[in-house]
Amino acid sequence: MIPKRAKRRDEVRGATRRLWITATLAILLAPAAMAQVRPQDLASGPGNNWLTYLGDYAAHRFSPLTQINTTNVSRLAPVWVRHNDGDADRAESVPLVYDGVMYATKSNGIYALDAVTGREIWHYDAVSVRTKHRNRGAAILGDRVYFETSDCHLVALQRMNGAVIWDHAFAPAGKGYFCTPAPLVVKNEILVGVASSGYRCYVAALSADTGKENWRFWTIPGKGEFGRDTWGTFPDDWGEVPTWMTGSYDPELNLVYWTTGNPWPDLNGEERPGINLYSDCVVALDPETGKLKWYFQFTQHDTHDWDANETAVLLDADFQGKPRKLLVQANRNGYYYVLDRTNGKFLLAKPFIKDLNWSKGIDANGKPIVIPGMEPSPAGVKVCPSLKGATNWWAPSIDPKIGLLYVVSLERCEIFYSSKQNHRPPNVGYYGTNHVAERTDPGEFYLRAINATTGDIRWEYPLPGPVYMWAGTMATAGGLVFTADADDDLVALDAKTGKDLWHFYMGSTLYSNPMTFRVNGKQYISMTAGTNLFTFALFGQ
Amino acid sequence: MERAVLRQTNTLCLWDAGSFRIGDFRLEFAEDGAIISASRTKFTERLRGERMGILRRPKFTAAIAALCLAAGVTVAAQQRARGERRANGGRAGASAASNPLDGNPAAIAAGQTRFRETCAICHGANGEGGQGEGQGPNLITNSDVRRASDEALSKVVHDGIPATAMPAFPLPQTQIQQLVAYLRSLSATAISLHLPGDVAAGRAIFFGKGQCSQCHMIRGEGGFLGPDLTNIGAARRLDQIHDALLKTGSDASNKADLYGDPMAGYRAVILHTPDGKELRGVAKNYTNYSMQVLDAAGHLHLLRGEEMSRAAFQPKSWMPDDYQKVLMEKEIQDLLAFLSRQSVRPPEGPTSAAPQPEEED
Repeated sequence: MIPKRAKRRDEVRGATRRLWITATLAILLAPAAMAQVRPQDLASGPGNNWLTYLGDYAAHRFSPLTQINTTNVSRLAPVWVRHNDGDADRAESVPLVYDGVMYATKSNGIYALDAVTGREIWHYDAVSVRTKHRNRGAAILGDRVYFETSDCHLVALQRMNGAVIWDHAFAPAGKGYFCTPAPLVVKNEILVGVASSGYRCYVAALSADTGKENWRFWTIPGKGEFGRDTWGTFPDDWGEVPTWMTGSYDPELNLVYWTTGNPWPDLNGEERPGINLYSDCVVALDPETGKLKWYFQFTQHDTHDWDANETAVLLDADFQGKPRKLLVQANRNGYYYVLDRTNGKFLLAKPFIKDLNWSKGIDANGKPIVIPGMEPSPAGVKVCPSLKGATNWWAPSIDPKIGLLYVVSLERCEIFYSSKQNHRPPNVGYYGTNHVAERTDPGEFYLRAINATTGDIRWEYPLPGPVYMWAGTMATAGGLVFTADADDDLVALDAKTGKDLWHFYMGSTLYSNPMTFRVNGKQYISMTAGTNLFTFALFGQ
Repeated sequence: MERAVLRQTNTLCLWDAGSFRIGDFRLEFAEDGAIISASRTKFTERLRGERMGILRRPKFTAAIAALCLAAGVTVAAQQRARGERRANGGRAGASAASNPLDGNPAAIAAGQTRFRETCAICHGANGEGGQGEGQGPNLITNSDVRRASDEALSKVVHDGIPATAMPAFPLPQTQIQQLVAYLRSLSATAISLHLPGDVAAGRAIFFGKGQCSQCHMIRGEGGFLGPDLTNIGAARRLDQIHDALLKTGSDASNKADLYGDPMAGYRAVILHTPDGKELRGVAKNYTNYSMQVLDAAGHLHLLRGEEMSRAAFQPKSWMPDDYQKVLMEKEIQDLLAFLSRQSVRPPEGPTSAAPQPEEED
């Protein structure tokens, strides 16, 4: 009998030998044996590299890098800036960095840049695309990068030279579908989301190797399926409920969490009586099959365009004295939610904005207690938060040690109007009428540090300026949180106290989220403004 | 937007979103009708700041028509052209492909012979345009030629353009059709030509005897040093592919602008690694301060300052220049047939653009 330990060593040796043979064969067969990005690299989160749109699967957007920290961030200075030719009106892209190479998308294109100098290594412009929407970023796996075109093709490129491997349509652009999010890599699948102008949407999983669609989860139940009766007699393929924000993933529970948008027509709910599943939800999906494990709906029968596409942050923490697997989200409707991510059970909700007038609170089941008369009307009704929301897809971040979630929040009210209009088919730009802010009260942004398990606001920092910006946050182990203000500054604050430590005027509006990486021992911070991509490092090092 | 085509025997007078032209009078305007520029005309000052809308006014249209008449044309037709132009690969009008010999390889070859005998003296041996003032325009890139219908082109050949250096060539109809087929092939992307040849054999040459795949990729298969060829058939004309293969270096002149580096991203270097190895590479980019080299094995070398002296520029590209000797004529034809069919997306049919949808957020 072989002792267990020895056997294991033998197994390891065997495995090593096999690995050697495989490696030798690979060298003989393939001219290139380059570093491969593995799923476990994605799971391990940011460090030298930044490999996913949200930094890691749990969507913390928290970097362990400490070279730039509270004591020296005042010396942060620009290293390079690059204008993205031919981008859409604004760059919403978050770059990825692997091994000193940065992959930054623009509308229908992607650049590989020397991350330290900003100089282009290659770029790829997708061919034959007739629409031009903003793009939020790429995904990386193996020796490939992936991005979505405006007309909903997933493009797989060779990472070193930008050669096209395939370009596969996953939604019909001719019906008004359009695509902006960074794809999500789960195991050997690329998960993509879509938006539309009325037709029902879905999350799809495509094979990372071939682009073949493995499954599709429709965000609106089909005929005869559970939840179909939450739409009255509304046509089967109408209602939208888009999936335009990258999901998060728990490898241990093997569940993908995808957030969904509002039902269509946006501001007129008369034709779609019911709670309109799975609009304004977070859905937990089996990444193997796309089967729904559970769902939680934040806003029922939404008529204020309060998409729930905001990032779902996964957190393991003590909740009321008990360690739990949590999913937290600051929602566009003004409430901060804490759920149990194993089963979707509602645990807690608290408002994170001061002006919230449409609901008295959230009941024990997680449903808002709606105040009557807040539906859009022909005469107009003042509702807070505004259509843009109490927050939006502006990425939150969390320092798990401090336990604070950093959320860009908007205090703003609007007059919501609705009018009786004839039934309109999708894809004609029909929202169900409109919303107008009071000129006297344009609103103001704040960065709010929310205690992730209690929902209490620890500190806030005003981000003044005209409320055009769409910027998110990043936290680092250097004790910093980076975000933007509406006066076009990139700012660094003390993550514990919210004290202002550094700012830089970027010259145009910020529409994206900061990220950080390290090359040859030096830490860098990158962020887009307008259609420019900036990179910073400590001056004089 | 409607596009009016005013023509008579020999020239075009047209406007659409983009430009308006009669002879050398040219108007450029934006999508919303704002006039951007006007050239070689007394109208310039008067038209600046006007909008496209005025072109719809009967009075102004009459003025334009008069101007056209003065240039020897009459109003002949009004066509909705935008969708049709797309469907016809950039050509105007439903009658664009009225030429029965369009795309016919034998006719294109005959047209080429005729062209060299008859037209090349002014328009260049391959339609690239003549040298010096008053010589014939480039027929490959000229947008008027590309947009004109087959019928209009035939008339220009047959009747010439009065008061210009373009004489009349009253050739038999078939010969004119052959010439037009050749003219079309000049500006057509390779994929639209359905080039004859054994595509499978061409593929075998690409990945075998020709050793193309040592440096070029198609759908992710192949080497790193050369440009990706996955979309080459849809992106380039046949003559460009042909010349790149058989006249190394000439393709670069087709894509470079006057000031750009025609070898940008593919300049050949020999890289000396710190451990004394010599690697073949291409400079993906280089400045005074940094260089990004991709080697034949697909490894990136990001060089700074002093390190840049490890990369030595080579006088010639890595592209072999002896395919004429290495490959037989049939093999070249098969390889071109294979390359000309490479396209990332399937060739486009007549489709309408998707409407710009709403904001998602």
